[in-house]
Amino acid sequence: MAAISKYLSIIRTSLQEYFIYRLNFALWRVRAVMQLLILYFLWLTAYGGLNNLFGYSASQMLTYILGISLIRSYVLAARLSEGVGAQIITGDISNMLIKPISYIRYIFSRDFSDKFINIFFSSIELIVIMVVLKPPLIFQSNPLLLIGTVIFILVGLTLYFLLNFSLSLSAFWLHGDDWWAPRFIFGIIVDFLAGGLFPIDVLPEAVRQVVMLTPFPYLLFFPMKVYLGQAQTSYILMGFLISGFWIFGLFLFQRWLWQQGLKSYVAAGS
Amino acid sequence: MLPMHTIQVNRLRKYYKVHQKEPGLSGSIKSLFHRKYYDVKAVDNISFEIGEGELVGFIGPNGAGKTTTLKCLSGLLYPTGGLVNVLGYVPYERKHPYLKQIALVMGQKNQLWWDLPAIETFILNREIYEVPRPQYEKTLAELTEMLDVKDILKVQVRKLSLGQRMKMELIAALIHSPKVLFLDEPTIGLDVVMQKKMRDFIREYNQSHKATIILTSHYMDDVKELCKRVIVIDKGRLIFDGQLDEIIRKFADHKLITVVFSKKVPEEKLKKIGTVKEYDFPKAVISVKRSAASLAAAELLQNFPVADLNIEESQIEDIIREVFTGENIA
Repeated sequence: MAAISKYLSIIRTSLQEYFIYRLNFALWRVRAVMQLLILYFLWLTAYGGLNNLFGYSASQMLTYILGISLIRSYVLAARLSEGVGAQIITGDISNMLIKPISYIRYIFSRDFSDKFINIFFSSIELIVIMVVLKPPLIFQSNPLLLIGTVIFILVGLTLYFLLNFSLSLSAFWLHGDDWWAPRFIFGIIVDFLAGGLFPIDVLPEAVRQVVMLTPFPYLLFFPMKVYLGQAQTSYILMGFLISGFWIFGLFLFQRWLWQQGLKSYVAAGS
Repeated sequence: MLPMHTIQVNRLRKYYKVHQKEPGLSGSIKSLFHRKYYDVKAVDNISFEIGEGELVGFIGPNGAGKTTTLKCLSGLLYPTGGLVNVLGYVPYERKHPYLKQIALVMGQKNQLWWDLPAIETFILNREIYEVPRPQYEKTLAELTEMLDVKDILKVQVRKLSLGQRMKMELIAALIHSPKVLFLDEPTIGLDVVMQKKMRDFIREYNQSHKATIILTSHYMDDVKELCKRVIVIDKGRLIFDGQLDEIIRKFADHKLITVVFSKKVPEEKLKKIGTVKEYDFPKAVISVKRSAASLAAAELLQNFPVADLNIEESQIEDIIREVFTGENIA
Protein backbone atom coordinates (compact mmCIF):
# COMPACT_ATOMS: atom_id res chain seq x y z
CA MET A 1 0.00 0.00 0.00
CA ALA A 2 2.85 2.30 0.81
CA ALA A 3 3.99 1.95 -2.78
CA ILE A 4 0.67 3.22 -4.11
CA SER A 5 0.59 6.19 -1.77
CA LYS A 6 3.99 7.24 -3.18
CA TYR A 7 2.51 7.57 -6.62
CA LEU A 8 -0.74 9.14 -5.42
CA SER A 9 1.37 11.71 -3.69
CA ILE A 10 3.15 12.48 -6.96
CA ILE A 11 -0.20 12.92 -8.70
CA ARG A 12 -1.42 15.25 -5.94
CA THR A 13 1.72 17.37 -6.06
CA SER A 14 1.65 17.52 -9.86
CA LEU A 15 -1.97 18.64 -9.80
CA GLN A 16 -1.09 21.51 -7.52
CA GLU A 17 1.36 22.81 -10.10
CA TYR A 18 -1.42 23.37 -12.63
CA PHE A 19 -3.33 25.90 -10.63
CA ILE A 20 -0.48 28.24 -9.80
CA TYR A 21 -0.41 30.24 -12.98
CA ARG A 22 -4.01 31.20 -13.63
CA LEU A 23 -3.52 33.06 -16.88
CA ASN A 24 -1.43 30.27 -18.34
CA PHE A 25 -4.05 27.77 -17.31
CA ALA A 26 -6.94 29.76 -18.77
CA LEU A 27 -5.19 30.38 -22.08
CA TRP A 28 -4.31 26.70 -22.36
CA ARG A 29 -7.99 25.82 -22.15
CA VAL A 30 -8.94 28.58 -24.59
CA ARG A 31 -6.48 27.11 -27.05
CA ALA A 32 -7.97 23.63 -26.64
CA VAL A 33 -11.47 24.93 -27.33
CA MET A 34 -10.35 26.97 -30.35
CA GLN A 35 -8.59 23.96 -31.81
CA LEU A 36 -11.75 21.94 -31.48
CA LEU A 37 -14.01 24.61 -32.92
CA ILE A 38 -11.77 25.16 -35.95
CA LEU A 39 -11.86 21.46 -36.81
CA TYR A 40 -15.57 21.33 -36.17
CA PHE A 41 -16.43 24.22 -38.45
CA LEU A 42 -13.94 23.11 -41.09
CA TRP A 43 -15.70 19.78 -41.46
CA LEU A 44 -19.14 21.36 -41.17
CA THR A 45 -18.28 23.62 -44.12
CA ALA A 46 -16.78 20.73 -46.08
CA TYR A 47 -20.09 18.92 -45.95
CA GLY A 48 -22.09 21.91 -47.14
CA GLY A 49 -25.20 20.24 -48.43
CA LEU A 50 -23.56 16.83 -48.97
CA ASN A 51 -24.76 13.74 -47.13
CA ASN A 52 -21.64 11.73 -47.50
CA LEU A 53 -17.90 12.38 -47.65
CA PHE A 54 -15.32 9.55 -47.66
CA GLY A 55 -18.01 7.16 -46.44
CA TYR A 56 -18.86 9.32 -43.42
CA SER A 57 -22.20 11.08 -43.00
CA ALA A 58 -22.07 14.61 -41.60
CA SER A 59 -23.27 13.47 -38.18
CA GLN A 60 -20.72 10.63 -38.15
CA MET A 61 -17.92 13.02 -39.01
CA LEU A 62 -18.95 15.60 -36.43
CA THR A 63 -19.27 12.87 -33.81
CA TYR A 64 -15.82 11.69 -34.86
CA ILE A 65 -14.28 15.14 -34.50
CA LEU A 66 -15.83 15.85 -31.10
CA GLY A 67 -15.17 12.31 -29.87
CA ILE A 68 -11.54 12.50 -30.91
CA SER A 69 -11.10 15.71 -28.98
CA LEU A 70 -12.26 13.91 -25.87
CA ILE A 71 -10.13 10.81 -26.49
CA ARG A 72 -7.19 13.09 -27.17
CA SER A 73 -7.41 14.29 -23.60
CA TYR A 74 -7.23 10.72 -22.34
CA VAL A 75 -4.53 9.44 -24.64
CA LEU A 76 -2.31 12.29 -25.76
CA ALA A 77 -2.28 14.34 -22.58
CA ALA A 78 1.25 13.57 -21.48
CA ARG A 79 2.79 16.96 -21.13
CA LEU A 80 5.02 15.88 -18.29
CA SER A 81 6.62 12.82 -19.81
CA GLU A 82 7.52 14.95 -22.80
CA GLY A 83 10.08 16.65 -20.60
CA VAL A 84 11.97 13.45 -19.86
CA GLY A 85 14.37 14.05 -22.75
CA ALA A 86 15.29 17.48 -21.46
CA GLN A 87 15.71 16.10 -17.94
CA ILE A 88 18.17 13.53 -19.21
CA ILE A 89 20.18 16.09 -21.16
CA THR A 90 20.36 18.61 -18.34
CA GLY A 91 20.98 15.95 -15.71
CA ASP A 92 17.90 17.00 -13.76
CA ILE A 93 16.75 13.40 -13.84
CA SER A 94 19.53 12.66 -11.31
CA ASN A 95 17.35 13.86 -8.48
CA MET A 96 14.78 11.16 -9.24
CA LEU A 97 17.31 8.44 -9.97
CA ILE A 98 18.69 8.53 -6.45
CA LYS A 99 15.25 8.18 -4.88
CA PRO A 100 13.69 4.84 -3.96
CA ILE A 101 11.09 5.09 -6.68
CA SER A 102 10.51 3.56 -10.10
CA TYR A 103 11.17 6.26 -12.64
CA ILE A 104 8.75 4.98 -15.27
CA ARG A 105 5.97 4.85 -12.68
CA TYR A 106 6.90 8.29 -11.47
CA ILE A 107 6.54 9.64 -14.99
CA PHE A 108 3.31 7.74 -15.52
CA SER A 109 1.92 9.30 -12.35
CA ARG A 110 2.92 12.73 -13.60
CA ASP A 111 1.16 12.02 -16.89
CA PHE A 112 -1.86 10.76 -15.03
CA SER A 113 -2.30 14.12 -13.38
CA ASP A 114 -2.10 15.74 -16.81
CA LYS A 115 -4.76 13.39 -18.13
CA PHE A 116 -6.94 14.00 -15.12
CA ILE A 117 -6.94 17.76 -15.62
CA ASN A 118 -7.45 17.41 -19.35
CA ILE A 119 -10.34 15.00 -19.05
CA PHE A 120 -12.02 17.12 -16.43
CA PHE A 121 -11.90 20.33 -18.42
CA SER A 122 -12.43 18.95 -21.91
CA SER A 123 -15.54 17.13 -20.70
CA ILE A 124 -17.00 20.38 -19.41
CA GLU A 125 -16.05 22.23 -22.58
CA LEU A 126 -17.55 19.52 -24.75
CA ILE A 127 -20.83 19.64 -22.87
CA VAL A 128 -20.96 23.41 -23.33
CA ILE A 129 -20.29 23.04 -27.05
CA MET A 130 -22.99 20.40 -27.35
CA VAL A 131 -25.51 22.58 -25.59
CA VAL A 132 -24.67 25.70 -27.57
CA LEU A 133 -24.11 24.27 -31.07
CA LYS A 134 -26.48 21.30 -30.83
CA PRO A 135 -24.53 19.25 -33.38
CA PRO A 136 -26.25 16.15 -34.84
CA LEU A 137 -24.31 13.56 -32.82
CA ILE A 138 -24.48 9.79 -32.81
CA PHE A 139 -24.91 8.22 -29.40
CA GLN A 140 -23.81 4.63 -29.31
CA SER A 141 -26.15 2.42 -27.31
CA ASN A 142 -24.62 -1.01 -27.92
CA PRO A 143 -22.92 -1.91 -24.61
CA LEU A 144 -20.40 -4.20 -26.33
CA LEU A 145 -19.20 -1.38 -28.56
CA LEU A 146 -19.02 0.96 -25.59
CA ILE A 147 -16.89 -1.53 -23.68
CA GLY A 148 -14.76 -1.98 -26.80
CA THR A 149 -14.30 1.77 -27.02
CA VAL A 150 -13.10 1.96 -23.42
CA ILE A 151 -10.71 -0.95 -23.95
CA PHE A 152 -9.21 0.68 -27.02
CA ILE A 153 -8.86 3.98 -25.22
CA LEU A 154 -6.79 2.16 -22.60
CA VAL A 155 -4.80 0.48 -25.37
CA GLY A 156 -4.16 3.87 -26.97
CA LEU A 157 -3.14 5.37 -23.66
CA THR A 158 -0.64 2.59 -22.97
CA LEU A 159 0.73 2.68 -26.50
CA TYR A 160 1.21 6.42 -26.44
CA PHE A 161 2.93 6.32 -23.09
CA LEU A 162 5.36 3.64 -24.26
CA LEU A 163 6.05 5.42 -27.54
CA ASN A 164 6.54 8.70 -25.79
CA PHE A 165 8.78 7.27 -23.10
CA SER A 166 10.94 5.30 -25.56
CA LEU A 167 11.36 8.38 -27.69
CA SER A 168 12.38 10.43 -24.67
CA LEU A 169 15.01 7.88 -23.73
CA SER A 170 16.82 8.56 -26.99
CA ALA A 171 18.13 11.63 -25.16
CA PHE A 172 20.62 9.34 -23.39
CA TRP A 173 22.53 9.22 -26.67
CA LEU A 174 21.88 12.72 -27.92
CA HIS A 175 23.53 15.98 -27.06
CA GLY A 176 22.17 19.38 -26.18
CA ASP A 177 19.09 20.40 -28.08
CA ASP A 178 19.19 17.33 -30.32
CA TRP A 179 16.67 15.60 -28.04
CA TRP A 180 14.01 17.94 -29.34
CA ALA A 181 14.26 17.03 -33.04
CA PRO A 182 12.87 13.46 -32.91
CA ARG A 183 10.06 14.69 -30.71
CA PHE A 184 9.10 17.32 -33.25
CA ILE A 185 8.85 14.73 -36.06
CA PHE A 186 6.97 12.44 -33.71
CA GLY A 187 4.42 15.17 -33.02
CA ILE A 188 3.76 15.66 -36.72
CA ILE A 189 3.44 11.93 -37.35
CA VAL A 190 1.01 11.54 -34.46
CA ASP A 191 -1.13 14.46 -35.65
CA PHE A 192 -1.26 13.00 -39.12
CA LEU A 193 -1.47 9.25 -38.60
CA ALA A 194 -3.33 8.93 -35.32
CA GLY A 195 -6.49 10.36 -36.82
CA GLY A 196 -6.62 13.58 -34.85
CA LEU A 197 -7.32 15.75 -37.91
CA PHE A 198 -9.30 13.32 -40.08
CA PRO A 199 -10.31 9.66 -39.97
CA ILE A 200 -7.61 7.34 -41.34
CA ASP A 201 -9.95 5.76 -43.89
CA VAL A 202 -9.98 9.06 -45.73
CA LEU A 203 -6.53 8.00 -47.01
CA PRO A 204 -6.10 5.90 -50.19
CA GLU A 205 -6.62 2.21 -49.53
CA ALA A 206 -2.98 1.12 -49.97
CA VAL A 207 -1.73 3.85 -47.66
CA ARG A 208 -4.42 3.08 -45.14
CA GLN A 209 -3.44 -0.58 -45.01
CA VAL A 210 0.19 0.27 -44.29
CA VAL A 211 -0.75 2.88 -41.69
CA MET A 212 -2.94 0.35 -39.89
CA LEU A 213 0.15 -1.78 -39.27
CA THR A 214 1.84 1.07 -37.37
CA PRO A 215 0.90 1.83 -33.77
CA PHE A 216 -0.42 5.31 -34.59
CA PRO A 217 -4.05 4.73 -35.63
CA TYR A 218 -4.63 2.86 -32.37
CA LEU A 219 -4.03 6.05 -30.42
CA LEU A 220 -7.14 7.98 -31.49
CA PHE A 221 -8.73 6.67 -34.65
CA PHE A 222 -9.46 3.11 -33.64
CA PRO A 223 -11.42 3.71 -30.42
CA MET A 224 -13.62 6.20 -32.26
CA LYS A 225 -14.10 3.82 -35.15
CA VAL A 226 -15.32 1.19 -32.69
CA TYR A 227 -17.61 3.72 -31.02
CA LEU A 228 -19.23 4.70 -34.30
CA GLY A 229 -20.05 1.04 -34.93
CA GLN A 230 -18.30 1.13 -38.28
CA ALA A 231 -15.85 -1.64 -37.43
CA GLN A 232 -16.60 -5.30 -38.04
CA THR A 233 -15.61 -7.93 -35.51
CA SER A 234 -12.72 -9.25 -37.62
CA TYR A 235 -11.44 -5.70 -38.07
CA ILE A 236 -11.60 -5.10 -34.32
CA LEU A 237 -9.78 -8.35 -33.59
CA MET A 238 -7.09 -7.51 -36.09
CA GLY A 239 -6.66 -4.11 -34.46
CA PHE A 240 -6.43 -5.75 -31.08
CA LEU A 241 -3.70 -8.11 -32.29
CA ILE A 242 -1.63 -5.40 -33.97
CA SER A 243 -1.86 -2.95 -31.08
CA GLY A 244 -1.17 -5.78 -28.59
CA PHE A 245 1.93 -6.69 -30.53
CA TRP A 246 3.12 -3.07 -30.42
CA ILE A 247 2.46 -2.73 -26.69
CA PHE A 248 4.41 -5.89 -25.97
CA GLY A 249 7.28 -4.91 -28.25
CA LEU A 250 7.49 -1.33 -27.01
CA PHE A 251 7.38 -2.45 -23.41
CA LEU A 252 10.44 -4.64 -23.91
CA PHE A 253 12.07 -1.95 -26.02
CA GLN A 254 11.72 0.85 -23.46
CA ARG A 255 13.01 -1.44 -20.72
CA TRP A 256 16.07 -2.31 -22.75
CA LEU A 257 16.59 1.35 -23.69
CA TRP A 258 16.33 2.39 -20.06
CA GLN A 259 18.93 -0.12 -18.92
CA GLN A 260 21.31 0.76 -21.74
CA GLY A 261 20.65 4.45 -21.25
CA LEU A 262 21.55 4.38 -17.58
CA LYS A 263 24.87 2.81 -18.46
CA SER A 264 25.75 5.69 -20.70
CA TYR A 265 24.16 8.34 -18.51
CA VAL A 266 26.61 11.08 -17.68
CA ALA A 267 24.59 12.97 -15.06
CA ALA A 268 25.46 16.32 -16.56
CA GLY A 269 25.96 19.36 -14.37
CA SER A 270 27.59 19.37 -11.02
CA MET B 1 29.23 -10.16 5.38
CA LEU B 2 29.11 -6.53 6.42
CA PRO B 3 32.00 -4.43 5.26
CA MET B 4 34.37 -2.95 7.80
CA HIS B 5 33.89 0.49 6.34
CA THR B 6 30.82 2.42 5.38
CA ILE B 7 32.35 3.36 2.06
CA GLN B 8 34.88 1.31 0.16
CA VAL B 9 36.27 2.40 -3.17
CA ASN B 10 38.78 0.23 -4.91
CA ARG B 11 40.54 1.24 -8.12
CA LEU B 12 37.50 3.19 -9.28
CA ARG B 13 37.65 4.36 -12.88
CA LYS B 14 35.18 6.46 -14.85
CA TYR B 15 35.99 7.42 -18.42
CA TYR B 16 33.77 9.62 -20.56
CA LYS B 17 33.71 9.60 -24.32
CA VAL B 18 33.83 13.14 -25.57
CA HIS B 19 33.78 14.31 -29.14
CA GLN B 20 36.21 16.83 -30.37
CA LYS B 21 35.33 19.54 -32.81
CA GLU B 22 37.84 21.39 -34.90
CA PRO B 23 37.43 25.15 -34.66
CA GLY B 24 35.34 27.17 -37.09
CA LEU B 25 32.39 26.49 -39.34
CA SER B 26 34.24 23.98 -41.52
CA GLY B 27 35.07 22.04 -38.37
CA SER B 28 31.40 22.11 -37.44
CA ILE B 29 30.36 20.75 -40.83
CA LYS B 30 33.03 18.07 -40.68
CA SER B 31 31.77 17.03 -37.27
CA LEU B 32 28.31 16.46 -38.75
CA PHE B 33 29.65 13.52 -40.72
CA HIS B 34 32.63 12.33 -38.82
CA ARG B 35 33.29 12.68 -35.15
CA LYS B 36 36.50 12.03 -33.36
CA TYR B 37 35.94 10.66 -29.91
CA TYR B 38 38.45 10.43 -27.16
CA ASP B 39 38.31 9.23 -23.58
CA VAL B 40 38.37 11.67 -20.74
CA LYS B 41 39.61 9.99 -17.61
CA ALA B 42 37.37 11.74 -15.11
CA VAL B 43 38.32 9.31 -12.37
CA ASP B 44 41.37 7.14 -12.76
CA ASN B 45 42.17 4.39 -10.30
CA ILE B 46 41.04 5.92 -7.07
CA SER B 47 40.93 3.90 -3.86
CA PHE B 48 39.92 4.93 -0.36
CA GLU B 49 37.85 3.82 2.59
CA ILE B 50 35.64 5.87 4.87
CA GLY B 51 34.37 4.75 8.26
CA GLU B 52 31.01 5.32 9.88
CA GLY B 53 30.41 8.86 11.08
CA GLU B 54 33.46 10.32 9.36
CA LEU B 55 33.26 13.74 7.75
CA VAL B 56 35.65 13.78 4.83
CA GLY B 57 36.43 16.65 2.50
CA PHE B 58 37.09 16.14 -1.18
CA ILE B 59 39.17 18.86 -2.65
CA GLY B 60 40.51 19.51 -6.09
CA PRO B 61 40.20 22.05 -8.90
CA ASN B 62 37.30 22.12 -11.36
CA GLY B 63 37.15 18.95 -13.39
CA ALA B 64 39.36 17.04 -10.96
CA GLY B 65 36.83 14.22 -10.66
CA LYS B 66 35.27 15.05 -7.29
CA THR B 67 31.72 15.24 -8.54
CA THR B 68 32.16 12.19 -10.76
CA THR B 69 33.32 10.21 -7.75
CA LEU B 70 30.29 11.34 -5.75
CA LYS B 71 28.01 10.38 -8.62
CA CYS B 72 29.56 6.92 -8.73
CA LEU B 73 29.10 6.58 -4.97
CA SER B 74 25.47 7.64 -5.07
CA GLY B 75 24.69 5.26 -7.92
CA LEU B 76 24.05 7.77 -10.68
CA LEU B 77 26.94 6.57 -12.79
CA TYR B 78 28.13 3.17 -13.88
CA PRO B 79 31.83 2.98 -13.16
CA THR B 80 34.06 2.10 -16.12
CA GLY B 81 36.02 -0.15 -13.78
CA GLY B 82 36.83 -0.86 -10.17
CA LEU B 83 34.70 -1.63 -7.16
CA VAL B 84 32.48 0.60 -5.09
CA ASN B 85 30.67 -0.52 -1.99
CA VAL B 86 28.58 1.71 0.24
CA LEU B 87 26.75 0.34 3.29
CA GLY B 88 27.20 -3.13 1.80
CA TYR B 89 25.49 -2.22 -1.48
CA VAL B 90 26.74 -1.74 -4.99
CA PRO B 91 25.51 1.81 -5.66
CA TYR B 92 24.76 1.61 -9.39
CA GLU B 93 22.30 -1.23 -8.82
CA ARG B 94 20.22 1.50 -7.16
CA LYS B 95 18.37 -0.90 -4.90
CA HIS B 96 15.67 0.87 -2.94
CA PRO B 97 16.95 -0.19 0.50
CA TYR B 98 20.24 1.46 -0.46
CA LEU B 99 18.71 4.64 -1.85
CA LYS B 100 16.65 5.02 1.32
CA GLN B 101 19.84 5.36 3.34
CA ILE B 102 21.69 7.93 1.29
CA ALA B 103 21.24 11.46 0.04
CA LEU B 104 23.05 13.53 -2.53
CA VAL B 105 22.86 17.30 -2.36
CA MET B 106 24.08 19.12 -5.41
CA GLY B 107 24.62 22.85 -4.94
CA GLN B 108 23.72 23.44 -8.56
CA LYS B 109 20.82 21.03 -9.03
CA ASN B 110 17.56 21.59 -7.26
CA GLN B 111 15.19 18.87 -6.25
CA LEU B 112 12.65 21.29 -4.80
CA TRP B 113 9.53 21.84 -6.87
CA TRP B 114 10.14 25.30 -8.17
CA ASP B 115 6.56 26.53 -8.31
CA LEU B 116 5.38 25.09 -5.01
CA PRO B 117 6.29 25.85 -1.41
CA ALA B 118 9.17 23.75 -0.09
CA ILE B 119 6.87 21.95 2.33
CA GLU B 120 5.24 20.18 -0.65
CA THR B 121 8.56 18.65 -1.65
CA PHE B 122 9.10 17.52 1.93
CA ILE B 123 5.70 15.84 2.01
CA LEU B 124 6.36 14.17 -1.31
CA ASN B 125 9.73 12.92 -0.08
CA ARG B 126 8.08 11.63 3.07
CA GLU B 127 5.91 9.44 0.86
CA ILE B 128 8.69 8.43 -1.51
CA TYR B 129 11.04 7.45 1.31
CA GLU B 130 8.16 5.94 3.29
CA VAL B 131 9.04 7.89 6.41
CA PRO B 132 6.54 7.21 9.22
CA ARG B 133 4.61 10.35 10.04
CA PRO B 134 5.74 10.83 13.66
CA GLN B 135 9.36 10.48 12.57
CA TYR B 136 8.77 12.93 9.73
CA GLU B 137 7.23 15.51 12.07
CA LYS B 138 10.12 15.13 14.47
CA THR B 139 12.83 15.39 11.80
CA LEU B 140 11.16 18.33 10.12
CA ALA B 141 10.78 20.19 13.42
CA GLU B 142 14.40 19.54 14.27
CA LEU B 143 15.75 20.61 10.86
CA THR B 144 13.62 23.73 10.56
CA GLU B 145 14.75 24.68 14.04
CA MET B 146 18.44 24.11 13.27
CA LEU B 147 18.26 26.03 10.00
CA ASP B 148 15.80 28.65 11.23
CA VAL B 149 13.37 28.44 8.32
CA LYS B 150 10.06 27.85 10.09
CA ASP B 151 8.39 30.95 8.69
CA ILE B 152 9.23 30.33 5.03
CA LEU B 153 8.09 26.72 4.67
CA LYS B 154 4.95 27.82 2.85
CA VAL B 155 6.58 30.30 0.51
CA GLN B 156 6.88 29.35 -3.15
CA VAL B 157 10.41 28.09 -3.74
CA ARG B 158 11.08 30.46 -6.63
CA LYS B 159 10.54 33.40 -4.29
CA LEU B 160 13.19 32.27 -1.81
CA SER B 161 16.72 33.65 -1.78
CA LEU B 162 19.57 31.38 -2.78
CA GLY B 163 20.58 30.84 0.83
CA GLN B 164 17.05 30.03 1.93
CA ARG B 165 16.67 27.67 -0.99
CA MET B 166 19.87 25.85 -0.15
CA LYS B 167 18.62 25.35 3.41
CA MET B 168 15.40 23.90 2.02
CA GLU B 169 17.38 21.64 -0.30
CA LEU B 170 19.21 20.30 2.73
CA ILE B 171 15.96 19.62 4.56
CA ALA B 172 14.51 17.85 1.52
CA ALA B 173 17.61 15.68 1.37
CA LEU B 174 17.63 14.89 5.07
CA ILE B 175 13.96 14.24 5.71
CA HIS B 176 14.58 10.48 5.56
CA SER B 177 17.54 10.69 7.95
CA PRO B 178 20.14 9.23 5.58
CA LYS B 179 23.13 7.40 7.02
CA VAL B 180 25.39 8.57 4.25
CA LEU B 181 25.33 12.07 2.89
CA PHE B 182 27.08 13.29 -0.23
CA LEU B 183 27.35 17.06 -0.38
CA ASP B 184 28.53 18.49 -3.67
CA GLU B 185 29.40 22.17 -3.32
CA PRO B 186 26.73 22.86 -0.73
CA THR B 187 27.93 26.41 -0.13
CA ILE B 188 28.42 27.50 -3.73
CA GLY B 189 27.20 31.01 -4.42
CA LEU B 190 26.35 31.72 -0.79
CA ASP B 191 27.58 34.77 1.05
CA VAL B 192 30.08 34.44 3.84
CA VAL B 193 27.53 34.55 6.65
CA MET B 194 25.36 31.93 5.01
CA GLN B 195 28.38 29.75 4.28
CA LYS B 196 29.20 29.79 7.94
CA LYS B 197 25.65 28.85 8.90
CA MET B 198 25.75 25.95 6.47
CA ARG B 199 29.04 24.75 7.89
CA ASP B 200 27.71 24.93 11.44
CA PHE B 201 24.71 22.93 10.38
CA ILE B 202 26.73 20.25 8.62
CA ARG B 203 29.02 19.85 11.60
CA GLU B 204 26.12 19.65 14.01
CA TYR B 205 24.28 17.18 11.84
CA ASN B 206 27.33 14.98 11.53
CA GLN B 207 27.75 14.89 15.29
CA SER B 208 24.14 14.49 16.30
CA HIS B 209 23.22 11.84 13.71
CA LYS B 210 26.52 9.98 13.36
CA ALA B 211 26.04 10.39 9.64
CA THR B 212 28.91 9.66 7.30
CA ILE B 213 29.46 12.73 5.15
CA ILE B 214 31.55 13.42 2.10
CA LEU B 215 31.80 17.04 1.17
CA THR B 216 33.26 18.63 -1.92
CA SER B 217 33.95 22.29 -2.02
CA HIS B 218 35.88 24.99 -3.77
CA TYR B 219 36.06 26.92 -0.56
CA MET B 220 38.99 25.85 1.54
CA ASP B 221 37.23 27.36 4.55
CA ASP B 222 34.53 24.69 4.30
CA VAL B 223 37.09 21.95 4.40
CA LYS B 224 39.34 23.60 6.96
CA GLU B 225 36.52 24.10 9.40
CA LEU B 226 34.68 20.85 8.94
CA CYS B 227 36.99 18.06 7.96
CA LYS B 228 39.87 16.50 9.81
CA ARG B 229 40.49 14.20 6.93
CA VAL B 230 40.76 15.32 3.34
CA ILE B 231 41.11 13.51 0.06
CA VAL B 232 42.79 15.53 -2.64
CA ILE B 233 42.00 14.65 -6.23
CA ASP B 234 43.55 16.13 -9.31
CA LYS B 235 43.06 15.11 -12.96
CA GLY B 236 41.16 12.04 -11.85
CA ARG B 237 43.90 10.79 -9.56
CA LEU B 238 44.10 10.70 -5.82
CA ILE B 239 47.13 12.64 -4.72
CA PHE B 240 46.59 12.87 -1.00
CA ASP B 241 44.48 11.15 1.63
CA GLY B 242 45.00 11.99 5.26
CA GLN B 243 44.75 14.56 8.01
CA LEU B 244 44.49 18.13 6.87
CA ASP B 245 47.52 19.29 8.83
CA GLU B 246 49.59 16.54 7.23
CA ILE B 247 49.18 18.31 3.91
CA ILE B 248 51.15 21.17 5.33
CA ARG B 249 53.94 18.90 6.49
CA LYS B 250 53.97 16.93 3.30
CA PHE B 251 53.69 19.64 0.70
CA ALA B 252 54.77 22.86 2.32
CA ASP B 253 58.53 23.02 2.26
CA HIS B 254 58.42 26.77 2.74
CA LYS B 255 57.54 29.09 5.55
CA LEU B 256 56.42 32.66 5.33
CA ILE B 257 58.21 35.44 7.16
CA THR B 258 56.23 38.61 7.62
CA VAL B 259 58.37 41.60 8.52
CA VAL B 260 57.42 45.13 9.38
CA PHE B 261 60.26 47.57 8.79
CA SER B 262 60.85 50.80 10.60
CA LYS B 263 62.74 52.30 7.65
CA LYS B 264 62.45 51.76 3.93
CA VAL B 265 64.59 48.92 2.60
CA PRO B 266 65.35 48.32 -1.09
CA GLU B 267 63.55 45.25 -2.40
CA GLU B 268 66.78 44.03 -4.05
CA LYS B 269 68.29 43.41 -0.67
CA LEU B 270 65.33 41.41 0.52
CA LYS B 271 65.51 39.17 -2.52
CA LYS B 272 68.78 37.80 -1.25
CA ILE B 273 67.00 36.33 1.75
CA GLY B 274 64.16 34.60 -0.01
CA THR B 275 61.36 35.08 -2.51
CA VAL B 276 59.60 38.36 -1.88
CA LYS B 277 55.94 37.56 -2.21
CA GLU B 278 54.69 40.94 -1.23
CA TYR B 279 56.38 44.23 -0.40
CA ASP B 280 54.36 47.23 0.45
CA PHE B 281 56.29 49.36 2.87
CA PRO B 282 56.39 48.93 5.80
CA LYS B 283 55.23 45.31 5.41
CA ALA B 284 56.96 42.53 3.47
CA VAL B 285 56.19 38.84 3.12
CA ILE B 286 59.12 36.63 2.24
CA SER B 287 58.98 32.94 1.50
CA VAL B 288 61.95 30.88 2.59
CA LYS B 289 62.85 27.20 2.72
CA ARG B 290 61.51 25.54 5.84
CA SER B 291 65.00 24.49 6.98
CA ALA B 292 66.43 27.96 6.45
CA ALA B 293 63.61 29.83 8.17
CA SER B 294 65.31 30.57 11.49
CA LEU B 295 68.52 31.54 9.78
CA ALA B 296 66.73 33.96 7.50
CA ALA B 297 64.87 35.45 10.45
CA ALA B 298 68.09 35.96 12.32
CA GLU B 299 69.65 37.68 9.34
CA LEU B 300 66.67 39.98 8.98
CA LEU B 301 66.79 40.95 12.61
CA GLN B 302 70.53 41.61 12.51
CA ASN B 303 70.90 43.49 9.25
CA PHE B 304 67.58 45.26 8.72
CA PRO B 305 65.58 47.88 10.61
CA VAL B 306 62.92 45.46 11.79
CA ALA B 307 59.97 46.65 13.86
CA ASP B 308 58.16 43.34 13.93
CA LEU B 309 58.72 39.83 12.59
CA ASN B 310 56.58 36.77 12.35
CA ILE B 311 57.19 33.26 10.97
CA GLU B 312 54.24 31.16 9.88
CA GLU B 313 53.29 28.13 7.86
CA SER B 314 52.13 28.72 4.33
CA GLN B 315 48.38 29.17 3.95
CA ILE B 316 46.67 25.91 3.18
CA GLU B 317 45.09 27.50 0.11
CA ASP B 318 48.53 28.30 -1.24
CA ILE B 319 49.79 24.82 -0.58
CA ILE B 320 46.85 23.24 -2.31
CA ARG B 321 47.19 25.60 -5.24
CA GLU B 322 50.84 24.78 -5.46
CA VAL B 323 50.08 21.08 -5.45
CA PHE B 324 47.55 21.45 -8.24
CA THR B 325 49.41 23.79 -10.50
CA GLY B 326 52.69 22.05 -9.92
CA GLU B 327 54.30 25.43 -9.53
CA ASN B 328 56.42 26.48 -6.67
CA ILE B 329 54.96 29.10 -4.42
CA ALA B 330 58.39 30.04 -3.20
